[in-house]
Amino acid sequence: MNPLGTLKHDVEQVRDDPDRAARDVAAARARLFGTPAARRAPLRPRAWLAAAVILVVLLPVVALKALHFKTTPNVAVALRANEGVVRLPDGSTVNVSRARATILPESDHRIRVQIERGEAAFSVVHHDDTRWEVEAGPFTVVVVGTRFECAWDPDRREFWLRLAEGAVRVRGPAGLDQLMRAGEFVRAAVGEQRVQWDGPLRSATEPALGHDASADARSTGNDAATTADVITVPRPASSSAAWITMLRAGRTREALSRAQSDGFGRSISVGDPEALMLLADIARAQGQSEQARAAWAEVRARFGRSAQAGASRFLEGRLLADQLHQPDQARAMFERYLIEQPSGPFAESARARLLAEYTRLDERGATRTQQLARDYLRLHPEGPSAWRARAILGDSR
Amino acid sequence: MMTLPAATPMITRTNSSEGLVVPLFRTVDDATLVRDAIDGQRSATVALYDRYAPYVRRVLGSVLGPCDDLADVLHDSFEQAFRSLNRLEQPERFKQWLRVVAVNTARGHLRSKRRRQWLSFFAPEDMPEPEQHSEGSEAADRVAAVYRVLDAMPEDERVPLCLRWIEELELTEVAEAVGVSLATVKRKLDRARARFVALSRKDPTLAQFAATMEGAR
Repeated sequence: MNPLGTLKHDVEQVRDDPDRAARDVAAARARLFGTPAARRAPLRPRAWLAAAVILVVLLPVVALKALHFKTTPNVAVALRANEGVVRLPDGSTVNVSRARATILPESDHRIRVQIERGEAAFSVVHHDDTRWEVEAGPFTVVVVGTRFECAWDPDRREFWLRLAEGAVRVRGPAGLDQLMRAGEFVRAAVGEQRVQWDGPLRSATEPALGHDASADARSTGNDAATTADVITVPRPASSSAAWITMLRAGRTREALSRAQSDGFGRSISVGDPEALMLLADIARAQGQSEQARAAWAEVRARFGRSAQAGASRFLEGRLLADQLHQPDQARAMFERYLIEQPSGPFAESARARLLAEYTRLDERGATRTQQLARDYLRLHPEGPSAWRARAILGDSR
Repeated sequence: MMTLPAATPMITRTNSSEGLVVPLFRTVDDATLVRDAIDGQRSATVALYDRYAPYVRRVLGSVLGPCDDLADVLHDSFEQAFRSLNRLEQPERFKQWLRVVAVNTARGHLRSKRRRQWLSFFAPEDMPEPEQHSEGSEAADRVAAVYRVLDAMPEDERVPLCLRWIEELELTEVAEAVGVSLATVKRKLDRARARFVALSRKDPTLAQFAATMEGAR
């Protein structure tokens, strides 16, 4: 092969990596076609009370209303439903009357449901060749055939699941991987440095998280421990870590593997912000989104005033938007980044993404959107999203 | 609970109160989809995206190389295309027109990246990508080197070179994509090849390739 041919072949190999290509196409698709969420004006306390009363009265009526869709294997469609019951072609149903959720039938054999906020009830008909995954915040519930309710509160970063029939597997931050059986209930709160898991402990694999010895002893049995167990990510006794040495030697893949095998939560509790940021970036590039998030959270927890802590918010926001498809959380990250680093290296990108997102949400007229558009034009008049800022402000220049 | 009619037509307008019907679009030509999209049929817009997003991503990947922002540029390309769809005079040439939009978006991205570079005192996104496959690390190194060299080239030479060499477009297609005449694009490609070889000579990863390329001329 001629030299240019060899280089061209290399470029194509890297460019056409199927995982990256699929991720890019899905991320852009989600941003282009996500249905605008209902516009939400800030509510005063009294308005909250009134809204709650109205919700209680209207819920039974709304729940009767059904949505229905059909999918074809070549055109997967995302359907966001704010209300009603969605019945799938295989007979499974999802009641999203109290949730904002997205249903992504990725193929005939794989269905993904993302709960952005609120609770949803599932009745999944078992098929040997069909896989369901329900994503609620940083948790993923892997379903075979079962009936359960599941919820995610992004404000309190709290997840719960009540299993009526069958069995599910719950995966979560920092390697959490638990099995649940019929009749069980779990509530999990995600903190900056730990996941509190109030529910049965039955590890689906070797636990990547450190947890107390008594919980360890209980989880070795076939049946779960009773309730109210807590899983935490403790600090290690040692202040040095092999993964950092590997990282400094440029052995990036080995560094990540070592951090994982030593227990990721334990590993990241040491290391300077540069090492943690690099580890997060490696985890992200390897598709380990939750580990990337855990490393960024660690930077913020331990080095809150550093430039890296600010940058971590933008990078996590981008991951939330593009790979985890959680626009609400992504937006919060970008906004927080701009508060902390209004002139930071990612400020233009953060403003551009927020402008795009608020436009998608049909909130062009909102005070915050207008403010962002003015800031964008003032600070980045030649920026690639200047046209959008002008459009928002009604300036046809 | 509402149910769907037994038979669904090929193209169905969506109606949120009755649910969403996803039609089979494979047999519908581009021109029809473009007209339906201009008429406001969201499902047609989605179908156009699903049909061409992988292709546009490939073109963008050829021009920009491995970068974290590819999804952003892909999004911006389609957003720009859908905003200007009513200005498309020949709907049956949607793919070619979309390619022009994508190339323009990629060029804007390259310009913006250059402007931003001096600002980035700390940019983890610019850190070298970790190796995805150990057996492919040499190839990954060469690709990184290729785009380092391309980054050092003027954008009006880099883009035609990528489209011709990596994307293997015809000369007329390259000229259309970058908006210049055939004669101009030939001149630019000659200059681009020469510059690419000259810059490659200075890159340790590509030096050997550059020597072979020069020998083959």
